[in-house]
Amino acid sequence: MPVSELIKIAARINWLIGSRGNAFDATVSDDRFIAEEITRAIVESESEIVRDLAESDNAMKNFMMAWSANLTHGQTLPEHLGTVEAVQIQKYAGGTFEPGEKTTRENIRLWRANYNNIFDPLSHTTLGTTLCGYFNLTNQTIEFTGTAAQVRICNYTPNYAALQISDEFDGLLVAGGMSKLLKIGVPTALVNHYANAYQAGRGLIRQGATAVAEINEAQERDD
Amino acid sequence: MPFDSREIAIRVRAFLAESSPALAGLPIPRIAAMLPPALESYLRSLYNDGNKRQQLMKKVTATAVNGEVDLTPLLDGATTRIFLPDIRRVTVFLASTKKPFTWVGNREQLDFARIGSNESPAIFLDGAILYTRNNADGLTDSLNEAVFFTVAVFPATFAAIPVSLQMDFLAYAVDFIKEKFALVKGVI
Repeated sequence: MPVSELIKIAARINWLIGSRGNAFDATVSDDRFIAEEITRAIVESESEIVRDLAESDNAMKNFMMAWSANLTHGQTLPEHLGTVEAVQIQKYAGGTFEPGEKTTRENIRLWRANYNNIFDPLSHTTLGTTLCGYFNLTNQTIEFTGTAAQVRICNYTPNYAALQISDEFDGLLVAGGMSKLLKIGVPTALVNHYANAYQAGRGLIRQGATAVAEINEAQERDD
Repeated sequence: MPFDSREIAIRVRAFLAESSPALAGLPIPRIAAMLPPALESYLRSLYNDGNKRQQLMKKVTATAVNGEVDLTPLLDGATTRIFLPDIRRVTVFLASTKKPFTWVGNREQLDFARIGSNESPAIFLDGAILYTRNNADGLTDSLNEAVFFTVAVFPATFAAIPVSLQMDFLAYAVDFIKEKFALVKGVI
């Protein structure tokens, strides 16, 4: 999905606030307005939209989701926005990472200990065992059976030189940028108008307005 | 591939998932932990099932030391487990000559001279010890060689379950685990 372009959003805002040099130009000709301020307003809006996406169930956030570095048993998760989307576990040294299954902390403790091989003749990090691949996430701490775990989390860092979000959100970025420009003299009515539109758009994301994919329903068991 | 706890647990899980949605998420290790008691319970059910016992019949060899065959290792063996009363119902043979032992009514009779110039060895079961009288002489403690007999050998491990009974055990294990969970969770 194409990434939104900062220069296009800035040009659109320039047009709306009447500071343009030429039509759809990012250059600010009116010295009452500051180009850097407009740029930062846009990137700050992107940050807010990203947080909304990260904290809601929305497939549009995939662009900023990434697997963490390898985590050890009992390790606290790295800082991130929103929820942990997925957990994958390396079952044995040198093995590939596979999706983990959630279970209780008690199970994890018992299966890691595997006292007298009660649960499997093989330990939880041995190739072929049934004990590996389970995890528990409590209080931002991961416990698991297997060799290593990774969590899929939001790793967004604002970049004031380029946008990172999909161009699906261009309209929202314009509204968000406009809503923050009262401080550089944009008329209140104009700011308020776009602020309302911006908040409405963010609200839709927060409410999980995206349609449920058909495949989800198709995969549901009929029993 | 051996019939092991992993295969059984996976198959049992499939059965459980189909029988009750509440049990669909039961993890494999928890099922595996319940299989040894299920096997023990299954063995007890086999003791009284004549038809299934037929499929467990095996030749068992034991060794007499100073005229005594200690059967206790076979009662709780790691690979071979027999049901002691079965011994008394079958014939015990001397491995070297294939001569059958004659069961005598009490241990004292082993000291008596045997018919046919002592050609027929004698045997008496007392507790879990087989006491013998060799055919070679009149001493009860002279036999130091192997004897064999054919009885039902109950599987001590999952891999020892005969192929013809594997799915029977599977069905038993499913019911066993369902019953235990029904007591705890009331979900069946």
